[in-house]
Amino acid sequence: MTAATALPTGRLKHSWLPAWVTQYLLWAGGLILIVGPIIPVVWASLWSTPLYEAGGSLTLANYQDLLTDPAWWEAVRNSVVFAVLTTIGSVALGTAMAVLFTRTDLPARRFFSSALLVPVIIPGLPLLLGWTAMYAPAGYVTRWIDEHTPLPIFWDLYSVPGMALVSIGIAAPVVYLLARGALASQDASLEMAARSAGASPLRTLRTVTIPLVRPALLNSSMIVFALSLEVLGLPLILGTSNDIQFVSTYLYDNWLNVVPSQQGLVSAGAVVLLATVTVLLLIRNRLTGDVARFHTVGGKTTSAATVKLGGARWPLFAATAAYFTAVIVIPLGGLLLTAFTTILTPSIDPWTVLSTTHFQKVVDDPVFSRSITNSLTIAIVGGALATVAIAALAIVAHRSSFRHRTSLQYAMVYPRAMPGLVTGMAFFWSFVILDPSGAIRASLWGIGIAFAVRSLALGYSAFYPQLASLGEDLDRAARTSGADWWTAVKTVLFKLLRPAMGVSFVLLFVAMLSDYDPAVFLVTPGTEVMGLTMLKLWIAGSAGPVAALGVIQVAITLVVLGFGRLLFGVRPGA
Amino acid sequence: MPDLQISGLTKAFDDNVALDDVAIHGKDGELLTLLGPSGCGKSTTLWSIAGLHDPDRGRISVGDAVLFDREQGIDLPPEARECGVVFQSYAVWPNMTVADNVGYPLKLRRVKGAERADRVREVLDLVELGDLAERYPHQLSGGQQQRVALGRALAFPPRLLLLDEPFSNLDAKLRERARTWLRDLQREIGITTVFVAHDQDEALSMSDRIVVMDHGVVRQVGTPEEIYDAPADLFVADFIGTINLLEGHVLRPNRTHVEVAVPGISDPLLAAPTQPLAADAPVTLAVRPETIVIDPAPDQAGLNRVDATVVDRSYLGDHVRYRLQAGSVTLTVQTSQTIVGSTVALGLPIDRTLAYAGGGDRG
Repeated sequence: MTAATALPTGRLKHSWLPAWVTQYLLWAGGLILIVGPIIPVVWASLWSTPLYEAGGSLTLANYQDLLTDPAWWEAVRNSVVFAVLTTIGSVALGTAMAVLFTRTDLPARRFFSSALLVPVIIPGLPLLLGWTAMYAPAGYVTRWIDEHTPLPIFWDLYSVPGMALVSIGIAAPVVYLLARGALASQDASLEMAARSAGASPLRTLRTVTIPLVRPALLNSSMIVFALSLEVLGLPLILGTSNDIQFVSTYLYDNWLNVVPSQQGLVSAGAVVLLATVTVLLLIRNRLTGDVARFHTVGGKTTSAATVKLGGARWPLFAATAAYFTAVIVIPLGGLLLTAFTTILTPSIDPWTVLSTTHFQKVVDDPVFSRSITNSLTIAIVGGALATVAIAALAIVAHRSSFRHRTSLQYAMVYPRAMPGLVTGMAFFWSFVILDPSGAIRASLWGIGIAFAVRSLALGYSAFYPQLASLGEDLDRAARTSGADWWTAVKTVLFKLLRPAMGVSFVLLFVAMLSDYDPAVFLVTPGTEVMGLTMLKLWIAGSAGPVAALGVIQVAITLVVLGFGRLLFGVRPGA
Repeated sequence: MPDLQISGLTKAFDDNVALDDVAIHGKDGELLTLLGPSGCGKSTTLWSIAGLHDPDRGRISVGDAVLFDREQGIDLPPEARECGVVFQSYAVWPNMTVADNVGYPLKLRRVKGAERADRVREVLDLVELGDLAERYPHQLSGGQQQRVALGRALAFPPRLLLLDEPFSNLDAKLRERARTWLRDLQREIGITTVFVAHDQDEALSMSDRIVVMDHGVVRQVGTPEEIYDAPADLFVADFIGTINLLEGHVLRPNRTHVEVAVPGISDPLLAAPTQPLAADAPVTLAVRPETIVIDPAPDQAGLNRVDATVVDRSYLGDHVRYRLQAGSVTLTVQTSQTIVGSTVALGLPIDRTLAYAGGGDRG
């Protein structure tokens, strides 16, 4: 070398642990948290006594009891009918919206295309409360129509089809998002080719556009169907008065309301539910390929190949606006009115009974106020820890030569297949076995860990595309520069992935703030969370303060998403 | 600087053999280019040297240091191999300044304070980026980013410099300048360099020696002149540059030249054999377009004379490329002369007409 100064010399720094040890530790920790808790549920379902009691033996009696219980089969029937109706309705509606907003000259389509996403963005439970306040048999809108117009009331929210109607309103935007993504990524020249070959716009739509998004539709049908099978809040709120049981409420009641608690039976039911949903999602993966799972939402809406609606333009606009009003504006109004008035009924002008007493109650009542601080703590601390865990696990799964990395790739998306109730029960039994003192459950860690594991797949699906878009040469360059695996991860990957971790944190925060299913089995006095408090007290008849709590939850969500969008460009996704 | 020794390097993906018993000897301070079509194994070889790929068998050493030896169970991780690598994508870390990128290998080796700052400045001057030390990569052009990558690879003096098609993301004009610049720099610091290229112009103009690879096999190792003028086999002949290939069979073998009958051409052609050829053996003749003489003088010796008609003419600025029909055979001829009229006499130099055993199949 002809360099002027002396060449540098130095010894290479090494990480504290060899790469393979770090990788094994992360892998084992991840699998124990994600897959591990399933083992105690299966065990509990096959054991004759609850696991916290001494004795007991291996038995199939729990399954026998479950499968011979007519109430179980009634619940299965209701759940399946509900899921089928929801799937058909939301796929039809979601696809129609996607086509209308991306491929036609519908007036104000830009506004609608984001406004109709509100049910995806805000927590489900407050919106559901809004629906109930307005459209239930004793709801404001229902009674107003009954008293002031000759129109018939054709809906009954307290029936299976009625519940499906509400569920469609919440699920259609999910389908819409997936279908819109598929339409946006579709090459516009395919449609132009059809047009220049002589096809009319409508024919092009029918013969080219829609068939090409069929995989996306199949994918979203499977997702909606699986989610509808496990939904808990909706049947609890709407089904109770007519005693309509779903699979989820059957498990809920047999655990919490039947004396003595049927924990073996419920565990067996949870295993059956988990197996069903797992099989459904395996079929879906087989049918649509793994790519669909990582589909990024929010591609550009192409204005190319616009179908001219002609005379149908304004009638379709009116229909869309009416739908938007009925499904989003009125329920949100219902939520706000319930929260801000002392009594909500058509016979009293709501503006004369405005008050903030419900909010006062939320502040004063220890259960309400504790729910807020608990949920916020879980969302912030749990969201942050889960984000770091997701980043580390995703890097082991995708950016290492670790032998078992593929197993981690599957494990990380599996929580999406796990119904929230099953997650809750899985952690309940895990804590029973590992922590007989109950210290973990008595702290927020119990619910926090369950929520975090449940949200893992969501955070991962936001994080992974960012990781994949970072060229592997970036970490290879660090390796050849002299960094061992962990140093390369720390000094290069983690730094470059900060924005992705920000996005992931915001989504996890929002999800964990409004999550409640797993808490059903884990909650102890002092560890209440917002969602579960709303659910329990609404059923107990305390509408006003619950709506106020819902408004607070929605407000926090919107503020955090707003900041997330500002800082990291977070977009809500399915 | 030590030599690079690769022997018996083998790698298979499922049933697909990526490297088949590859042996390469890189001499101290030379610029050795791995050249071949995509999938020939050149990149796999480079990554195996860097430790980013895991060969099934073989041995890689630089001087006394064994980087990889399957039989002895030696497989140094990439960070311990001390190879400076410049990636095709440059892989400059966008979150660090130019100086931080270049200083990274030093930081990992606990080179601190003024010593590190001095070395970074020295390397940045070497790659002519002294003024841009505090810039971020997104503020740099492609060529500048590449020089950052090179500076980073050289910052802590590596045993070897490995370059993976570093010019493929530059536009044509810049590429030419970058080649000369890199070549000068490499000579100046005298570092043994392995360079992966799929552009043959790049390989011919820069290399001390070229390794031509195909399907995981080394076809020829030689200087650019040897590779171009005396290709070892038909694959190399066809892969490097443009060449006319004429199939025929041996009429009369001879020690210095063979007489070959080419269907479609009335007179037999004389050619230089690249290996012993028997009578009646199928052969393929290879002639470079620029060696063919147009309208040779009647007394010029050492030529096969063929009459041809002009089919087509492409004007390329400094030269013209003709497509000519000789009998039923099409020949490409490159010249700066202009052919007047539609028929022309051609002279194929006997010692530049190479005869290879075998037919058109160049596997």
